[in-house]
Amino acid sequence: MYKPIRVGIVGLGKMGKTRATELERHPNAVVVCGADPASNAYSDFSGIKCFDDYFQVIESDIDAVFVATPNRFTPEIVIRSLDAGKHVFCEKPPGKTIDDIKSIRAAEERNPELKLKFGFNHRYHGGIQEAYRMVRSGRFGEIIWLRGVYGKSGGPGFEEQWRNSKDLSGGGILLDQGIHMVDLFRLFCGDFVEVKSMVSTTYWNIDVEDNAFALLRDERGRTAMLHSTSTQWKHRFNLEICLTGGYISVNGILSSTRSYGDETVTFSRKSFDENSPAGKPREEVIFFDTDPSWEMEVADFLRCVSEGLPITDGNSDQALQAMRLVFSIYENDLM
Amino acid sequence: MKHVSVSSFLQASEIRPSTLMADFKRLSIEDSRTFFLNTAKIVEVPCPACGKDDCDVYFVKYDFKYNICHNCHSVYVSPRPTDESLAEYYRYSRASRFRYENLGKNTAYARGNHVLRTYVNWIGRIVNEIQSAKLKASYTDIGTGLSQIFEELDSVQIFETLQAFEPMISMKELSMDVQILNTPPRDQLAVSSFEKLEHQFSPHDYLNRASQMLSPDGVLFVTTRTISGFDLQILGGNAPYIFVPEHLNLLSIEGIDHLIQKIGLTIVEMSTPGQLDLQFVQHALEENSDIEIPHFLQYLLDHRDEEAHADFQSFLQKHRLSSHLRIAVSRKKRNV
Repeated sequence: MYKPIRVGIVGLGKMGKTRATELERHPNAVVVCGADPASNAYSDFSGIKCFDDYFQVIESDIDAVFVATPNRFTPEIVIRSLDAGKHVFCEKPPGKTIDDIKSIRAAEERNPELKLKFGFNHRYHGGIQEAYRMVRSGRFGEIIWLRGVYGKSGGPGFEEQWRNSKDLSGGGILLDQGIHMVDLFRLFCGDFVEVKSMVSTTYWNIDVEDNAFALLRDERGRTAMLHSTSTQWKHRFNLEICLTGGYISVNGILSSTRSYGDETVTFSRKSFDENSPAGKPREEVIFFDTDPSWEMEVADFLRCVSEGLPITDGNSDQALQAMRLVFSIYENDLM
Repeated sequence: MKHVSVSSFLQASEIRPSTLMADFKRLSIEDSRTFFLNTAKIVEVPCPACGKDDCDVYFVKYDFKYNICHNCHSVYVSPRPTDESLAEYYRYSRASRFRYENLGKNTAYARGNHVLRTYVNWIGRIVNEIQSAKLKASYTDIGTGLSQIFEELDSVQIFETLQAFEPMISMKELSMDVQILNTPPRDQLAVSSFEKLEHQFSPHDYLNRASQMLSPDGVLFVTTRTISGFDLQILGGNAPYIFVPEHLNLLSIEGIDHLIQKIGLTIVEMSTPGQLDLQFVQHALEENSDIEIPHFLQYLLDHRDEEAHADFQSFLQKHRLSSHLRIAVSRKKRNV
């Protein structure tokens, strides 16, 4: 048994609470303090010391800082935490710009003994992990293309959210939610070298995009098509992977409200069998009853800290490459 | 946990041709009277799933009582043939020989194409999950009734060693190397038992023995019929192919869950990916017009097309309401 890892949380909003819940459930972690400028957030954290200034968290007797703040504040908090000798878990995206993540990486390089992980939790979803194992098994052949749709509906108050203020967020739905799909594209195919895109603000009265369409191509000629949107009136997550020997489709993503539907993986091996109707192959669907992603992601970070292991999922290089791709989609907007 | 649904356009007639099934049923009933007639060969048992002895007679079929457990709602035969008399039956009965020599051979293509291929997908997928590196490991099928399982597994190269423990059929015709075992193996990454649990005198002892063949992170793959499924819920004792000794145990989903926990195993996956519940009901009605079913179901069968029937079957699969149950269990505690 390791000595419990003492954690402070900066940002006590929705994500801060989600992380606190998982940390409290973990046998090797204890949340000791938190910070948020809004004192009404403290009521959900009655068992810990709460401050209005994140400096007080960093200066506390803790081992790790969880950063769950608007993007504008992320880089400074992460960098100061690292330079204060704390391990850091930070929500995605890693700041507002590519320069932000570069600055963070410089701080990481100054403190090589510390662990830094970003919250790309979709990598830990059952559906994604299942699809990843299927692809890696080689039984479905080589990837030909990917197609990903990630959309949410916005809703009352959406225009006032900090996520839709360019000053606070740096970008719209693509940077906030679409970055998960970009990260998953990279998980399956690695880097992309060519980008075509159309990015627009078509419905919401906000100064960031509400729709981004992109076509990406890697060095092997494999194409990935992305649609990230906040005008998907029925929430949707869909990642299709077409391979030379079959197909795999991850549909839905389990959330607390189940608004993205059941999380399933539909798959089939390619069959041109004369007994099967063309274009209607035998299919299997896996249904996931639980979402272990939050628990697994936090546990993975804590294990890396305890055992001195490298961060394999959500490391700063993956965060940098995802940011580069997101900003490449912004810059290559054909409109 | 997770569960799975399957659509492969399987037709009941492909794996249960009516003439062969009628012959098999006739032989089974005749043989069961011969083999189990002596009352010394049958014994009373409590619920084989939860162990409770609180039941009512659910139906009586060909002189055997099927009880329903008030605790877990499993259905089971009691009194039932002893382990020894069952072993004798499966070794020497005409029905047993007919099953493998006639029924098995005549349905081999359909079972291979629709059933075994999905089993191989299933085994491969879960083995990938437990085995991060591509270590070659060992697989054993218990009481093999369909040798094509080895051909299918061999084609996807999941295991280095393929073994059949006490196979029910000759394995001579197989083109690949399958080791025949007469003593239970150890340290298997995967062990399977297809459509055997329902025949067992004691499902508890059977699963316990099977699980002892596993390596510490190994997985046991089991398929069986469950009373929780649609066709058995609707038809009960009128289900045409439910008879002794083929079906001594029709355990409920809850009963199986209890049993697995009692043995100290962990369920990795529990699904009912059956494709035939509605077809089974339809065929039972064709054979016996006296069977009464709910008006809604009759309406669905009479006034809706194949598309609607397929959707209904998908619903049953999705919500674990088909009678074809498959479970993967591990000796190891798992997160998902």
